Amino acid sequence: MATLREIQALVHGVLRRETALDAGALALGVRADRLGIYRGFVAQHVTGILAKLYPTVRALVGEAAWDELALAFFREVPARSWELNACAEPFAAWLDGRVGDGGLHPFLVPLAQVEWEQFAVALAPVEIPDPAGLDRLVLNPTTSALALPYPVVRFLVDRGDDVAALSPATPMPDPGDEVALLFRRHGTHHVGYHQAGDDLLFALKVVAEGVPLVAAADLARVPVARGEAALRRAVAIGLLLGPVESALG
Amino acid sequence: MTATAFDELPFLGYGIGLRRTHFDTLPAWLERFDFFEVLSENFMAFGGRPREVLRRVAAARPVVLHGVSLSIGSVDPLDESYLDALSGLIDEVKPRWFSDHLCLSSFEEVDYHDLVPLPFTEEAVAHVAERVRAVAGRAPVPFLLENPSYYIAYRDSEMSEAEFLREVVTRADCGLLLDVNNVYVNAENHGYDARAFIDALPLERVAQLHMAGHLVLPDVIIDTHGAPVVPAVMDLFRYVLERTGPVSTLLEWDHDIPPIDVMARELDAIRTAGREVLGDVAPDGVVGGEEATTWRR
Repeated sequence: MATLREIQALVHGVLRRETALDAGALALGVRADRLGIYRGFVAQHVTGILAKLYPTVRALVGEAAWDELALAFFREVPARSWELNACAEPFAAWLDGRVGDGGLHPFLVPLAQVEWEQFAVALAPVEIPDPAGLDRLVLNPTTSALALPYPVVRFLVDRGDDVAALSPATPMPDPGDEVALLFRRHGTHHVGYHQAGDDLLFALKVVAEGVPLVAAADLARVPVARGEAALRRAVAIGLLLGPVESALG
Repeated sequence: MTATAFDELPFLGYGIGLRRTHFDTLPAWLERFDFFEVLSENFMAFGGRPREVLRRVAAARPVVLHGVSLSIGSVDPLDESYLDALSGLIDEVKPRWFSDHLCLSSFEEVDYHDLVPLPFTEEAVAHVAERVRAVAGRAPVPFLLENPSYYIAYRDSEMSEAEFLREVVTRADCGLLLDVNNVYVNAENHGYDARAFIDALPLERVAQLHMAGHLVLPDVIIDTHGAPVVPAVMDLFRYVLERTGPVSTLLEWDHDIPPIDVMARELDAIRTAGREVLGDVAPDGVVGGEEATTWRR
């Protein structure tokens, strides 16, 4: 009689597709069709979560190529977390290793990074302070900054939320450096994503370094009025929290 | 039936699982549900809106936790990161109890996110019982094991499913979360009598019931949690209640989840079936009042 460990090892081989279904079923003394139910479910959990978390990558790759890609990810990257979504986190890095294969465009890698980050920021276990209760400007604690080799935010903004309109025929953008800022808004929990232009980077600098606006503007050779407008925009979009007046010095 | 500590757990009435798809509509329908079951893994690692909604629900109604990734039957060591996160959620939410399935869901640190059955062997009984005691010993609230649905029967099993279940929960001294739909599905898929199976269980340990729908395929029934409860499962539910008395009962729906009004209607059908057997029995320990009122505004 097989031990508990031996039985689990046999099942594992089938679920991970390292052992042929019929051979595994024979060794376990179970029906192959029934064992195949589990083999299908375990792969579908991972491929399903990839489809949920990377809808734009999926649309740009196309249905047939996506299915192959997702199953290859399942085979090559064992799920190492009890949290199903977390198993999809390595997808962008894995995709990076496949760029060039089968016509995968390098833009898909930073796009996948941004799609993952949208999920991670939305559910980050971080409390966002109520801006009304703050007496100084602070950075939204859910903020994530990604340095990207493609203008992903510009691409997403230009195309809106209509993933259905995307296909493998959609033109990919040219390379171009971009810093993407993602953060969860207080109250609504909506995740905003923005290109970090000069104004938002200036606003971040003021808050991160705790420098009064006038001094920061002087250092950056930016008109104070423009600097104040940058702070007000950062507060309006939820990147910074609290009263702008506290930074005016 | 022999009395156990699990007999004394409160009857929470009739509830549903807390699902994201109902976050917007739930406040207006809250009073239709006596308690909520929270899928632990959906909240353990996350903040944001799910955590905010969970706090509000837990302040308004009794909550129980239900997991799918404890992997109590795996030969891997217990996952400390999982147990720490679960412990944090228990501390925050203060559930009446927590539960998971009698199965394995990982091996060699690879997670399946599915419920893989165990062989019904003495070795498995001893292994699981020891691990249940370790898990339950860390928690301030009782632990229940659920009978999972399963599609394969190992050649090396040494006992029946009912004997296996009885041995595990008795030696582990834990409660039993009896999934009535799983009993039906397993009985159909493996060709045994569902009522005889129930009669063979340690019903004095049953602290919660699950009700759910399933998918009938030509040669197998799949436990999908994606359809209404069928009459045969409702009959089995009545059969269980005739033997257990009032037990907290939950409608599980995880795929193709319908709107909240349909959930309320389906739960009412279960509640009606329960009343046919039990009469009017008020749930214990329903909280609410100010917090619930505040949320509804």
